[in-house]
Amino acid sequence: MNYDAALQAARMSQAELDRPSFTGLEARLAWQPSARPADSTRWLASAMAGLAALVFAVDAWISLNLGSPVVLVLGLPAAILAASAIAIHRPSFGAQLSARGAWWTFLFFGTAWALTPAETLPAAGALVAWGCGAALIAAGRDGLHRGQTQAAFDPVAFRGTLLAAIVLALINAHLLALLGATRVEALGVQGPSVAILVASAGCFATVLGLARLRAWAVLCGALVSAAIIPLVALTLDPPVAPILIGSATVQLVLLGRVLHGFYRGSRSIGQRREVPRLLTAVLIMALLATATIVALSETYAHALTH
Amino acid sequence: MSEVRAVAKQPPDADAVGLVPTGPADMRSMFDAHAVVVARTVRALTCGQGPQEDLVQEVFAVAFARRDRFDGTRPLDAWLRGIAVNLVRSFRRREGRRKRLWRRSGPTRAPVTADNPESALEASELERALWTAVEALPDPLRETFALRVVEQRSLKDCADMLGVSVKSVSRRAIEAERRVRAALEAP
Repeated sequence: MNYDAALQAARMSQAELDRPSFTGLEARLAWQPSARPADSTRWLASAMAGLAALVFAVDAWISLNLGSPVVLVLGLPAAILAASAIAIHRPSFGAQLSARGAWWTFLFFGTAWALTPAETLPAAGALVAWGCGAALIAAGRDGLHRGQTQAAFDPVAFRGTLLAAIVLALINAHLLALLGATRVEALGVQGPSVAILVASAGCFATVLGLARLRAWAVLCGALVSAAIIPLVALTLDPPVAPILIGSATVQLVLLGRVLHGFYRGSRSIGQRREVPRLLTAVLIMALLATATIVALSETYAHALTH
Repeated sequence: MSEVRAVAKQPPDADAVGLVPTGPADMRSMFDAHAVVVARTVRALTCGQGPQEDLVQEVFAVAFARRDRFDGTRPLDAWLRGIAVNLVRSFRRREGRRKRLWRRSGPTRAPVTADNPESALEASELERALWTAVEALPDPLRETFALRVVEQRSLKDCADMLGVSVKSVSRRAIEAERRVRAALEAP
């Protein structure tokens, strides 16, 4: 084939190119997806996450002074939440998503903390839950939208399902890392502790793989979730165990749906659908209400006793 | 390198600055003035594949969103083509991931005009063969070939858009042409 003739044909084709349509651009310009939440909401979310971090930091300091053998489990959340308070200001999809993941984790963790017996300060758990819940509500979904940002997460299908799966994997990864670290700190290196930390690493790998749209990550996430359920049931106690079992089960269902889509070659199942905002708002409010009611009743009961 | 600096030092393009829209309603005039140039650049960079109209619109949407960053020291169409280069790079990265995860697609066939179907078909085949050969090039060579050889932009323009030296553009263009020629003329 003649190179010059091919080049000439390509140049002619370029020269004959019609002007593209303007239709749709005007509407597109009217709504510009933001790479991060607006200034005011971002600072509010940051302050709320900072409050939750402060609760953990104070608790870690008290534990340290009381000679508690478990300080790491309280110091790590403070560090993660402080990092999330900074990450929300970064206009990158990864930073925005990791901040949301941390807040969901400690919203559940704070609620679970509030539900534990009175001597472990349920009011502190409620404060953590309120800090993270308020941060999630304030930040909304700005910065997570498909749009103009170069690093936007933009699969052709199952976007909402994959986003939910990433957040659930982050919740599992954080909680398992914290619980594994606590067990190692308190009991030393043992089989179950190592298994928990390995499962946490698997969750982090799932997060990285899903965010980069790797097919192996879907399978990895499903397998890790399936492994987490019996592992947690056998090694951990309430109230964190039900959270982990619940999130692993939901993740298994979500990733099973994606795998089913792969198998059938159908993308229409999860096309352009996201988790309804109302559902997430109701879930956050329900968790906050539970944490508040339990904390108030425990505090009241404690005051009556003393 | 000094030529690249010379491009950066040229006086502000008053006409171009005047064309930068201040609101969505002004966008039409900028689009009318530069859409064809941007569309050609996008088509060359994507090797005639992909959602070119979407990408062209995205170029203007990004330009509108970042209009505060346009300082007028560069011609407006060069700035727009620079955005197009970055968006196509990003599109190709995403597309590569999607292809791995979701789907596989081959090069699209160029449309055949009805005036002289036979010669048009031959031209279309030639063009398709060229784009297939260009598609196989590494990204730096492909971009240089698209802008320098197909689009026939000046060395300085290409260097400005790709963010490399004029020397690199020249070297890459020669290498890209050699590879594409070899691919097309291979028995």
